[in-house]
Amino acid sequence: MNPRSEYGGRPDASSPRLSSLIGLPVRFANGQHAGYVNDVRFAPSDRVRGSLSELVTHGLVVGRHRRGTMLGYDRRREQGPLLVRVVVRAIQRDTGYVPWTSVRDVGPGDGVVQLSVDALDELEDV
Amino acid sequence: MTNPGRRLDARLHLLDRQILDVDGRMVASVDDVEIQRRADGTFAVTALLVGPGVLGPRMGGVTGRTMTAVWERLAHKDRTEPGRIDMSEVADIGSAITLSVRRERLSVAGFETWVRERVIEKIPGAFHEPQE
Repeated sequence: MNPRSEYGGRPDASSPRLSSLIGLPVRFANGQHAGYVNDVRFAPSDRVRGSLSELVTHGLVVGRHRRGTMLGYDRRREQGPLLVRVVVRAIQRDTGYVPWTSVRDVGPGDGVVQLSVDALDELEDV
Repeated sequence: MTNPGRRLDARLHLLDRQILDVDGRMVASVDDVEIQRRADGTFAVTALLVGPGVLGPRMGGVTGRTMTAVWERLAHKDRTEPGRIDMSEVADIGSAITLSVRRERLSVAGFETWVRERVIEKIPGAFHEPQE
């Protein structure tokens, strides 16, 4: 089976890209600004694509800063050096995680990610 | 080596990673990731996208627009034809992304290949034997 046909046609420039989600503003259910999409977390699904499990969205890393990734220091508690880790975590203290089940709408066209919750979860390590 | 149950943060673990073919030879770097919405509302990673036609729009600004325009003119392509590696051809995701195929089978031209073919090889003397 042609993997391209599974989603109803050959992807082209109109196919969404990761870069179209990164940096989108995120809104809580109550309308307040939650931050921006800093990263998209994927998890293996039951479906196999080639020799690997298909990766599907598990949730969004949301931070206050639009371009807030910090080389993984904000995702791994054990990553050193300690001083750098402490500084980065202080800067990124408002970064959180929202599981995909709490994402009500993702609109690259509208430019907003709408959540069904009013708070972010703690960001777990990967 | 990929842990089968491992979660990945796309920007951290996929973007800008080197892509190696089945023989360990450099193919390109991941410039963007193609995603497609599934029936259950989630998005699935369907392909890795490579090349200046993809990197330019991602960079944005004057630099990104210039890169894309130059690439479109020299490569005689437009941005609707990104270099695309289907995820079914990915064998492992680690510090590099390893494919299950040889790079000759891919219809992608990484930035390095593009520069070599479109710029370096156009310079007179590019094919001279190196001097001892």
